[in-house]
Amino acid sequence: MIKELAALVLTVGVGAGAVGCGQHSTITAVPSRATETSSSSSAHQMVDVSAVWATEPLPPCTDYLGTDLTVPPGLSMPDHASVAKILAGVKSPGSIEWVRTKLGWLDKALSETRADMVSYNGTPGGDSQLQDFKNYVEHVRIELAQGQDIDSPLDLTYPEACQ
Amino acid sequence: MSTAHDIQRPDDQFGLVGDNWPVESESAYAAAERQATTASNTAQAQAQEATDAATKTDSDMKGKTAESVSNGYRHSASQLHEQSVHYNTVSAWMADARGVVAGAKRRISTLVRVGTGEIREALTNEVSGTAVTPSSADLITKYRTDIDQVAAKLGVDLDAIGHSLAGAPGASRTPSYTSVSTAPTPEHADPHASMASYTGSSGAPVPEPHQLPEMPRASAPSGTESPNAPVTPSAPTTPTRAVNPTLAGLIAGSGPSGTPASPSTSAKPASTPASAPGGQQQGHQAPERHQNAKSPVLPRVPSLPLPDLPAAAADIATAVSSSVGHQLATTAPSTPGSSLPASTGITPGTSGTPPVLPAPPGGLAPIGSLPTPPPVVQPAAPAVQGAPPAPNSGAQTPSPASPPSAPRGPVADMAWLQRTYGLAPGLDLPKPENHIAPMLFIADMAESEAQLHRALATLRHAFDDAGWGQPMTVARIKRGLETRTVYATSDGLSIWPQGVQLPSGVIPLDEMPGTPVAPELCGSLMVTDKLTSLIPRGWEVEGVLSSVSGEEGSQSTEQYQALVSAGELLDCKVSRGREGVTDDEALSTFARASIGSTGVGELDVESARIRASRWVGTQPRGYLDTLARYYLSDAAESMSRGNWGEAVYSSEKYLSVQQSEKQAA
Repeated sequence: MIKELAALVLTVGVGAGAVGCGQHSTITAVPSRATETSSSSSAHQMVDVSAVWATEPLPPCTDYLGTDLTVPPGLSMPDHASVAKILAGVKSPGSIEWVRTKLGWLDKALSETRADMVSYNGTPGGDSQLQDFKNYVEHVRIELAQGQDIDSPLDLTYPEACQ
Repeated sequence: MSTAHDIQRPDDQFGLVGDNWPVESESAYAAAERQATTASNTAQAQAQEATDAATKTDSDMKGKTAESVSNGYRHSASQLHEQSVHYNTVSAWMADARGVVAGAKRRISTLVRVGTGEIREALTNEVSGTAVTPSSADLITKYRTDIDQVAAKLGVDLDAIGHSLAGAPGASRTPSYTSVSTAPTPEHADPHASMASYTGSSGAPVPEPHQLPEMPRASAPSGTESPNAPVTPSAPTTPTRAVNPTLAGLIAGSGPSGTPASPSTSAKPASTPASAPGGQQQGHQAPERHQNAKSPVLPRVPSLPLPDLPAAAADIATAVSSSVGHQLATTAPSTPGSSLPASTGITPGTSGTPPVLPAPPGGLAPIGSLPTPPPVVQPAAPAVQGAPPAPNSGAQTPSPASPPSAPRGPVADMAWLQRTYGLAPGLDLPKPENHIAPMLFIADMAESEAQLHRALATLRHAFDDAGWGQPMTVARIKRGLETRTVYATSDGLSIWPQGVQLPSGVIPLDEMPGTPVAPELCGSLMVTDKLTSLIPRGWEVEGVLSSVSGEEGSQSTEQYQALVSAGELLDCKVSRGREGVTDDEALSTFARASIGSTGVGELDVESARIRASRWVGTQPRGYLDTLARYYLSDAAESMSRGNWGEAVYSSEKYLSVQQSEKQAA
């Protein structure tokens, strides 16, 4: 009974993936998962990280910060595509929800870092911040590839927390 | 509220940061931001009530009296509306403050990390005998200087926000950071699309810079009109700072004029409580308050016409008194305290010690940071103040002058904003106050009324604890010899979230048999209306009590706190759902619910969405859908915890919302 139940919940969870993601590959998980309900030990479906990233996942908070100000010409900024490049090809053994949440935090950090780049443009540290953010994305990439959270000093600066 | 989620200071083995780590807390600003938003919503709700009341008066009554009553309502409505706009603006500036603080921390952290790496490498070379340029010492100097500059920029930014908040002429109206909701809003229907804009996805439209409305001139700041003249000891000093009032300073010191005073106050409580200069300060603050007290003219208006009024009158009276109420309410908070020493917040920023924020007594405001009790200037001044407008110059009292800023602290203080701008609607200012009422206010109430107070306080407490605090109302209703206590909330009709247990005998309105189906009221912040308009047939309302301050029949925050601290809460033992639900039953109900659903999100996300969708005026499109999703995720969560009773409860709620959605369509 419990097993079936878990399967049911899982199925519904995967179905949710479809909601935000248009017709992406993650959906294909639904039928296959549904048919193998009780054999939970079978090979785990790997999550295509890039596909999830493309859906602009939201952080699990009521809001996040960004900037409306115009980006000064010539300023190098991280953006959605530069992050996508780093994440390209990663398949995560983590659950789709976990991946989506992780990427939601990353989206939040990206939006905030971009706002910092504009707002603090007049001060030193632009290059450092660009580099540091990149390191953070690399760190997330490793977490995703391994399917688990990994402690890092970067967590202090990019807390996975709402304010 | 806790600062636990703030960006933490990085490892810094070479001491690059020094004392440049910002003392402000971005979470505290986020909390202030939310409070301001709530206040704005409340004001808006009340404005609506007043407008409705005016309309009602127009349609139900004729003649001079009616006209003056209805004008009174309209006047009140427009004032409330304006307040709502101001609060919204305050909220946007709080978001900006939150952004610049977090931004400075991120930038400093990254400088530390990158700098530490480079320095370490240079050192390694030097130790092995290879000279490098720049040397490790040079690098240390460089990074320290860089970090100084970032910290200085933060100071400048906070000052600018302070000026904007104070309505200083020429102050910026475009924040650097903008808070973007993860739930659909009128401006951003699709949160994913706005995320794309803010993260620079190719093809996504670039966000449009927007301008905030101007804030009213804060009474205190400018020093120009220093109305405070009468008593203000300090007035003169502050202006000095005009140059550079950090947000912190501003808030702390009620702007320039107040500034000096506040430090002293805040300093005091710490050590010499009682001795506080009560008298003076009070005077000082008074002017500001008076302003609002005056404005609402209408207060009493309603009572006059009452005799003639049709039944509608009662409602109206409620509406008005509520609008008026706050104004009064506002004042109140500060006064009560007066019995106590300084802590009562006479000084703007210092507001009495409230509570909410983790700050130490002296202060909430950014000022708060306690330790450095700044120069206590206040004594000297009185004399000077006569000559206010003249900028600082003359006045300069002792030391404070240069150490330009008021000490900065982690937090922003709504109390100050409220007082300074005279914005007051039902802001729920947590007022823990130290004054323990000698005798509990319910002591001389009829038992049934007292019980209603206990029930409401109990619910507020339970909801707050579970992170679901919101405007709510309870009522005692009666049919023949039966009586019941029912409640309505802003979320849904009468939401009962996971983690909340109810006192026995208190039931959600929508669980009363015979409660009319009213999907169109789901999510409305007008909780009293909601509740009174949905009483099942045959039942009569005996008493109503709401948490919306200012409404007639409301329980103030002070009363609520008093009940909590006096332990007058009812036992909460009732959980959601029936007992004895089996796994089979749960499974089949849940399955029935989830078939055909569009999927389940995570409970905390869906909860946040539903909380963010409370409304006034018109129900946002898709509200019921959001509500349904929330219930389904709640059900899924209960399933995964193996809590069958709750799973069935939430599944059924989901189904019933779905059904009313279908009927509505």
